[in-house]
Amino acid sequence: MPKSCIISINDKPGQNFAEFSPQSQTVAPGDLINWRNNTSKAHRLVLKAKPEVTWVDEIPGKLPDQPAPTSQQGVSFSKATTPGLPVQYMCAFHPEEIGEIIAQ
Amino acid sequence: MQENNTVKMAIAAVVAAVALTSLLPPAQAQTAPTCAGPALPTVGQITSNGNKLQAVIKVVNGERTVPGSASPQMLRYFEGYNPADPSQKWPVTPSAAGPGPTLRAEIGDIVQITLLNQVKVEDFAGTLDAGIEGRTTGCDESRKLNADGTVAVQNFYPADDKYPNCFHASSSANLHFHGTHVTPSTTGDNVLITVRPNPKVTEEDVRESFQEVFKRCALGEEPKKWEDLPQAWRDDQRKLLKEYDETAPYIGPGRNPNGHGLPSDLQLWPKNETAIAHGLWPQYYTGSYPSCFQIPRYTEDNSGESNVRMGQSPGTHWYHSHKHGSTSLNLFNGLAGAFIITDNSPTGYDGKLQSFYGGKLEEKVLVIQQFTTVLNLMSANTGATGPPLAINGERVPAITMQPGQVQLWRMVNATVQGFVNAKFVTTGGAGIAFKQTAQDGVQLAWKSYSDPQNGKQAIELSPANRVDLLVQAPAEPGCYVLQDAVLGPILNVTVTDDPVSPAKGFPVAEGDYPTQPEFLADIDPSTVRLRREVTFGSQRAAAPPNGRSLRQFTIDGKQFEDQVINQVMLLDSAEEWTLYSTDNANTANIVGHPFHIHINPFQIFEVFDPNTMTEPLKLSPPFVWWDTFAIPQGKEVIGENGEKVVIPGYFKMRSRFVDFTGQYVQHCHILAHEDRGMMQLLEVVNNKTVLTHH
Repeated sequence: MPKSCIISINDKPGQNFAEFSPQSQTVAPGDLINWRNNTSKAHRLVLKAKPEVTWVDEIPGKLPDQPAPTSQQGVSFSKATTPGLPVQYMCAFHPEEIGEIIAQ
Repeated sequence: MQENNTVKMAIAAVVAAVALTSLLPPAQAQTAPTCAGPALPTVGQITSNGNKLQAVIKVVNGERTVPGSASPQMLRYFEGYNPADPSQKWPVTPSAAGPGPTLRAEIGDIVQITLLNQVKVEDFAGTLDAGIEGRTTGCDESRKLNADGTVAVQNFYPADDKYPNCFHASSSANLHFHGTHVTPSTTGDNVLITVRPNPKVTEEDVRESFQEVFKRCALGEEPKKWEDLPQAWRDDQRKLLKEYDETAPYIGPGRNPNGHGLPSDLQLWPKNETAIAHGLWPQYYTGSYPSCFQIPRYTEDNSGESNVRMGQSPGTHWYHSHKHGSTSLNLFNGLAGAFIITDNSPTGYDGKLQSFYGGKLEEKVLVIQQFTTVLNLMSANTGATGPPLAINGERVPAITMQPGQVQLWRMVNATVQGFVNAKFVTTGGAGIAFKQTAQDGVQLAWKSYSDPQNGKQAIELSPANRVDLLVQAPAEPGCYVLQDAVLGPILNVTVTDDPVSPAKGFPVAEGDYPTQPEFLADIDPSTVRLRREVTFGSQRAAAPPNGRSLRQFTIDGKQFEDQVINQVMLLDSAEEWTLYSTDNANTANIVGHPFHIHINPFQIFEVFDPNTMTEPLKLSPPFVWWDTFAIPQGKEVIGENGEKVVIPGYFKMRSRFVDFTGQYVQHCHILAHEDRGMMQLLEVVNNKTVLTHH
């Protein structure tokens, strides 16, 4: 059965951009992937190799004393023809923020 | 499981169970597999005391291990305790997935439940509670990606599902007391409310206010309107809902620069204000809600007048979350539990059975569930098989019995879509024997119970069905298996230890069997005021570009509409309904739709399955009472002009809409169908003018 997984977006100590945790996430085809924004800034996630491909629309920043916003739209992968190849994504607003998904 | 295969079989089998005249052969002698696996967990109970069932039921979340899965998953679940007896607390081990605490009350008791929704929405995503408000659809959404990360299907979900008939609001909750005959309004079995999550709201915060509600409720003064609720709690609700309206994430049109704060047309508190101004019960709450009602006991005074037209049937009922749009995902998370209502009077259901067995009738409550965290429609489908069945949180657990011992098994099908059709495997002629004593929490009449075919049929439960069984272990120790026709073994029975002495079988004399309450006598057809026909079906539109089309589930060709009442019944009247299903085996992935109606059970007197029958099966009285029954599938045939014609399957039932006015629902109990529109709003009205002071 597919599972649900959440990747956190956290402030990176000493930097003015955030990081994904885990930076590399392994999933099975059909697993639903979402992102939780623990930072005060907004993020929009796109495919790094083709930034015009949006994975996740803008996630607003977290307000003090409010739950961390999570992605509006989950993504799931089709069955990979070559399982195990990492696919990189990044934040369209903060290109330093890069993560990867490995679909088994 | 394979839905369409399973259900075809299950429908036919359920039909047989109704009549209790099935000619199914006894289970074939086989070599029993070796008994293995875990013991059946005993779910903790919260019991009434002093005519009050007091419980705090929290909807919380945490990492839980799903039976059959190695890694824990984040699940919502019920955590409950008795505020008057802290030892009554469940779950003891929150990391193990399973049902909520079993609630146990006696007929006539007052139920006082503090519902707290403390789900941490940040632990879930892709759903309205945690995702961004103001999306264009209002539904949970997902994209399907190719293996290289490019988008394969932009709108994988909701596809062409439309709010509110789509998966959404999965962390919101309410409580449905399935099988109860109580008021559907205000603090009763009210599924038309939405309790949003708010982990900051604690029992301590609401205790004083709810005690006031419960105290008045015990005096028969349930709140009728918003102003009847304590001022302090109303003030808190107003404050918390306004805070939500001002801070919820929102990036739709007219957004604030920080992406937070809802536009006026999406705000919840103004909707409540409008309802309150019209004297209606508001829909939205946050963090807490008081459930309070009396379980009606049918009594007659000296002149033969009864206090209610229909009392509550003592039996095996259950409770579950019933927020439209999230019932399926919430039940896949496990938000369900048994609700046992007893009648321990000398002639009552429980009192009589216990008396027959000298007070030593051991009970087993078996809550059957399926667990998953992702609905197939929200992500790439990985196959047609649904999650495996778990009973009390374990797969294929074992019950221990002494040779010759009789136990009362209370089985609850709390799955989203699982049909059970099981038989005991016998070994060399010896085997487990059983007699069904109740269906859907309503005891069988003596004539039905004593039918020679009772005990020879398969044990069958559509989603939401319950059966009570007196089960007797054979004299021979060993391992015995309850085997589903599709799923294989679902339960083991280990027969061990010293034989029960003296062994006592099942009641065989009418005097040893519980007296059926008068209100459960067959509905007199001459009292029927109105006949209705209701049709369950589905349609699929052509797939749009860069998207996909999902089958849309309807009743009478329409999907559920909030505030639109589809059927109106007159208080204290009897009606006869024919429930049709036009869905059929030739329609992809369609199953028999388990029809469920809240508040009042019904009696089935005719069934037609065009796939297995040439003529309708007219059942003989006394008729069995149900609250959920799978409508036989239709059958597609070729018409005289070569066109495809569907012969619908159907069943006919009679019900009485008695004792309680108000709004409630009927729906398909394949809960994904209900969430996606296969539900109707009903209202029972009084024909007497009611004058109120202003």
